[in-house]
Amino acid sequence: MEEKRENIILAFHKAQEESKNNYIPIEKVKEIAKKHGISLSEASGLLSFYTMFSTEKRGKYVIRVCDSLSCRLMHSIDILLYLQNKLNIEEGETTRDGLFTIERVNCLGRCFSAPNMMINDKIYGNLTPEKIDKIIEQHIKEAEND
Amino acid sequence: MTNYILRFLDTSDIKSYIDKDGYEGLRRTIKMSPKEVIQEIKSSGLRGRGGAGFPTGIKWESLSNEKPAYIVCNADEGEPGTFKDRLLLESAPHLVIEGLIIAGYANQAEKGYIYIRGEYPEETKIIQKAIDEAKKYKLLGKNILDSSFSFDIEVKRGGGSYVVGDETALVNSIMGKRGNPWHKPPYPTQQGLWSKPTIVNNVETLSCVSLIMQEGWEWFSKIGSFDSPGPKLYCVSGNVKKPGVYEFPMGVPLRDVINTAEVDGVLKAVQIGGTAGPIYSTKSLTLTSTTDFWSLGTPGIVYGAKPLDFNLDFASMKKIGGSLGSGAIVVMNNDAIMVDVLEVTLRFFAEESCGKCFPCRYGTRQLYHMAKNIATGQGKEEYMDIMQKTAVSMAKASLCPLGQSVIMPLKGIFENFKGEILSFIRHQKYIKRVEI
Repeated sequence: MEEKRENIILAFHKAQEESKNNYIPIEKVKEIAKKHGISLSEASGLLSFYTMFSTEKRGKYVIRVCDSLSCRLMHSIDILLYLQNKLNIEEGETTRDGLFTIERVNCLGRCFSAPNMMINDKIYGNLTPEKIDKIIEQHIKEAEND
Repeated sequence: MTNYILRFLDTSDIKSYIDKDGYEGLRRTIKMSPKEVIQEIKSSGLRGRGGAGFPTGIKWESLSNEKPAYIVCNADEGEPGTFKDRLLLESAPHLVIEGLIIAGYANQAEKGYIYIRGEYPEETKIIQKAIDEAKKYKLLGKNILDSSFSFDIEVKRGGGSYVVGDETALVNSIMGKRGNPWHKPPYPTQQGLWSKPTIVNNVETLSCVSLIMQEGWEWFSKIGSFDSPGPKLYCVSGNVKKPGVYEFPMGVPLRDVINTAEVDGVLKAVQIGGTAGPIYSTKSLTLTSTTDFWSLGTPGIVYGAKPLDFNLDFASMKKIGGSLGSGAIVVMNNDAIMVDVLEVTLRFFAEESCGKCFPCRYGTRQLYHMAKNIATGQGKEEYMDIMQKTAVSMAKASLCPLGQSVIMPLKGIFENFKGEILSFIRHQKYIKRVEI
C-alpha cells in the first residue's frame, strides 16, 4: 500500500524503535522507500541527514551525551570520558555485548540540568560519575530481565 | 520578573488550563472576523520569538490568498542553550495549541502542524494527548465551538537536525524531505508546504498569541519596550547557581537576568542568543571594536550601572551588533576555557551544516579542524587570521543564517580573548588569568 511521502520520517522512527539494535536494516530501508514512493538513494539521503537514525547496528541502549556549550561549562567532557572508560568504547562505538553505544550530541534542550545525557527516550540530568554508575547498572539489569 | 506566560505552567491537563481562563482567547477569536484578529495581533506589536523577531501580524497579513493554506508551529528547538519551548510544550501545551488554533482561524488555514524535534519524545506524547483532549472539548476538529470554523492539528516528529529550525528547512522536513533550507524568496507565506501558502510561527510566539487574544492587544503592548512589546522567556544556563527559564518584560537589562540566576564564581563572558550569538567579555574596559562588542567591566566588578545594562530586546541587541535570538543566555565564569568554547562552538557548526552550499560545508569543517588542532596543542598562530578570514567569506557567501553567523561567536572569542587563545597556542596549555 502506498503511504504518503510526508510520513516517511515517522516510519523510520518506528522501524528503528522496533529493531532491537536501534538501527534500520537496509532491507527495511528499501521496503520503506518503496512504500513511500521514493528511491533507495533518496531514502539514504534522508537517513544520513537526520542524526537520530542509523543503518548500522547499534547497542540496545544508545547513550547520547550532550556536549553543548552549556553542558561543556558543566564538564560534559568529563562525563563523556568517564562513560568511555567505564564501557571501554570510544564515541560512536558499541560495547561487545551489544548493550551500549555512545554518541555525542549538540543539545538536548535541558541546559538547566547540565550535564545531560539521553538513553534511548529517557533523559538524565545533573550527571556525576556516581549517578552514571547507577544508571548503567539499572540498564544492565533491565537487559538481563528482557 | 513577570508571570504572564509562566502562570500557565502545570496546565497540561485541559481542565486546569480552562480553570485559568484558557481557551477564552479562542472563544473571543471566533466572534471576530479573521481580518480583525490579524489587526489585533498587528496592533499588539508582537514580534516572533524564534530568533528573527519578525512582526507576527505582518507575517500573517502577507500570507497569499491562495488556498489551501497551512500553519506550522515550529517546535524544533535546537539552539544550544535554549529550553523555553520545551518547557511550554511539556507544561503548558494548551497555551501553544490555543495559539495555533487562533492562528489557523485568522489565516483561514485548513490544517496546522506542530513539528517537534526528535530529541523531545516525551513532549511529543504530551502534545498529542493535549490535542486529543482539545478535540473532546470541541475546541479542535470540525465546527469548533459550534461555529462554521473547522481546523485540525497534526504532530510531526523530527529526526535530529539543527538546521531544520529554519522555516524553509522545516517546511521541507514536514514534507518528508531532507531539511535543507532554500534561498528566500519565495517566502513560505507565498510558497510553503506543497507550494501552498504557509505560516511558520515559534512555540513562544503562538503562546503570546493566546495571551493577546485573552487579554487584548492594549494590555500586551504596554508590557516591555516600545519596539518589542510583551513578556519574554529567557533561558539562563552555564555557570550560574540557579539555571532555568525566567520571564521578564522585553527589554530587561542583561544584568537583572544574570543577577536573578546568580553567577557561580567570577563572571568572565556571556553568550546571548544561542551558538550563533556573539560572546561578550567582561575583560577589557574599552570597546574592542566599533559597535560589535560591549565590554562589561573587569571581572567580578560590575562598573557603575552601565556595563551590564544593555537591554535584551531585538532593537537594543541589534544596536550593539548582536541579536536576541531565541533568548538563550549562557554565562561563563573564570574557569571557562575559551579554547574549549571555541572548539565546542565550531564542532557544533561543522556537524550541523546541512552541506547544501559549499562555503558553509567546507568552511565549517576547516574551522573545526583548526579549532581542534588548537585545543589539542597543535595550533599555529596564523590560524587565528585564517579562521577569521574563512568566517568572513562564509558570512558573505553562505546560503542561510547557519553559515552566515559563524563569524559572530568567532569574532567575539578572538577579539575579547586573543591573549588567552594565543598563549594557549604558544604554550599549549591554558594559563589561568591572574587577578592583580
